[in-house]
Amino acid sequence: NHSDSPNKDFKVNPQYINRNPRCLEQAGIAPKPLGWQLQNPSRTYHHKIKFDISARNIIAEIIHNSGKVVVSASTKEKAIKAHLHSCNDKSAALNLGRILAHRCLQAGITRVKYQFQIADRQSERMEVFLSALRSNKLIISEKNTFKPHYIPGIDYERPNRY
Amino acid sequence: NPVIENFKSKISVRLDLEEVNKTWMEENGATFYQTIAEHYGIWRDLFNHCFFHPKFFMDITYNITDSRYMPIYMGNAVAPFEARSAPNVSYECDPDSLYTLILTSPDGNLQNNNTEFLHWMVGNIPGNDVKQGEVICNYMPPFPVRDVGFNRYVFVLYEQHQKMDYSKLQKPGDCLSLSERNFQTLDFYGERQDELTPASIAFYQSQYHPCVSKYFRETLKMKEPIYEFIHPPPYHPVQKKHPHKKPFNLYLDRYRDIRELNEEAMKYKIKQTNPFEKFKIPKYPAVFNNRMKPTWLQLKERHRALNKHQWKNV
Repeated sequence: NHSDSPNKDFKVNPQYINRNPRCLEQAGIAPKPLGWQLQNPSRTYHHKIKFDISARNIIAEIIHNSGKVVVSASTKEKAIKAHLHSCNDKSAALNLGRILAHRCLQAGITRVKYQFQIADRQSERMEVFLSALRSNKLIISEKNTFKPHYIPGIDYERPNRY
Repeated sequence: NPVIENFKSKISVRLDLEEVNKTWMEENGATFYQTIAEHYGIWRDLFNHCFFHPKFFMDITYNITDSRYMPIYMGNAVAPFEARSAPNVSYECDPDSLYTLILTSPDGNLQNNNTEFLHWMVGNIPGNDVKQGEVICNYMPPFPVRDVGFNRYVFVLYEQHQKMDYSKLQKPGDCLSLSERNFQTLDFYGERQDELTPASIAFYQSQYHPCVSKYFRETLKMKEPIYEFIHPPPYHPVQKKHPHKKPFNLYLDRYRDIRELNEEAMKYKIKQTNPFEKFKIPKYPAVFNNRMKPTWLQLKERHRALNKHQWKNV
């Protein structure tokens, strides 16, 4: 059809591998680690929120299921501490939520999992932190992974797990 | 009550996000950028696991309309139509030194999965002014293909120790040929290690949008490739001769060759169709006559009618 095109002799590779390691997670296809069912908390997530309140400071982190800390915000940082009266109270929690959401969107992380714990029901700081994350456009639930339906049979000519 | 009012006023304190961001970037920005780049596999794909901490940060924006713009940080999602024209790049630097700006996509190469695709290359930029630099490869907007997921588009800024001669890499003015834009950052930087040092990095992600089809059709003038995701093969445990408490029909089907199963399913379907009659969808496909039939045969007929297991793709 396109005889005058600059790409008429261009042959596209029939196999395409997207090397982006976050690609499958964002598409909802990458499997979540399922083998930690007997432990609490589980690891069925891609990115989770960790909200740690200590006696003087608050640390909020986004952790990948491999254990790596991807994005973090804490009141120990010079930039945040300078503007806060108390590093431990609700206002600090609220502002940390806003800042963490801002940094997550900069890093391309839009969906995060929050593992509910019964103790968090009474924590107003946690509630304020989560509502700040939500209002700053960070979605606090992850996509369910898609698994294809079972089809019997093994393809012995391809590499397979048998 | 002064106690309650004091408590209420505390919760309404809101920090200025931009101010906090500015001070934080000066302190922790370099490690943040390095961590995110590693998380997205940029060091692995561009520099073969070598990394650097950015010395300063680029302020890259794509103009969408006269008043709206899309900023680029480290991995935010940008639609391809928003990135159709070259972005505005600015950074704080020494006005006497020269820089090279390269925009590559490690996932954008449609010929070779292990090389990158060069979208934009400007060399010998005097200080801050990207428009006065030598355009070695003109700007090509991102064209992530359908059903392939998010592709990364990485801006790398190198600081030059001297004026560089990029005549070997110079592409023709309006280079729309995809095969000429194959690029490998490792080779490029490996040859010029002594003259260049990487100074800054930024990247964004992009996904398919109908404007990409239009771009393939009108500008690149080629057939748009469409890919289908192939799931990894499912796990099957080693077959036993006497499996305990397993239904024999389903167990044996699991270890048969998939081509054999597909052939049988296709043959059955062809047998049912009459080429001279119009295809009629049965009104109650799951209703069977189960009299005098063994349970394994009943199950097989049910699967066949409901398009399950090996009859799914038939």
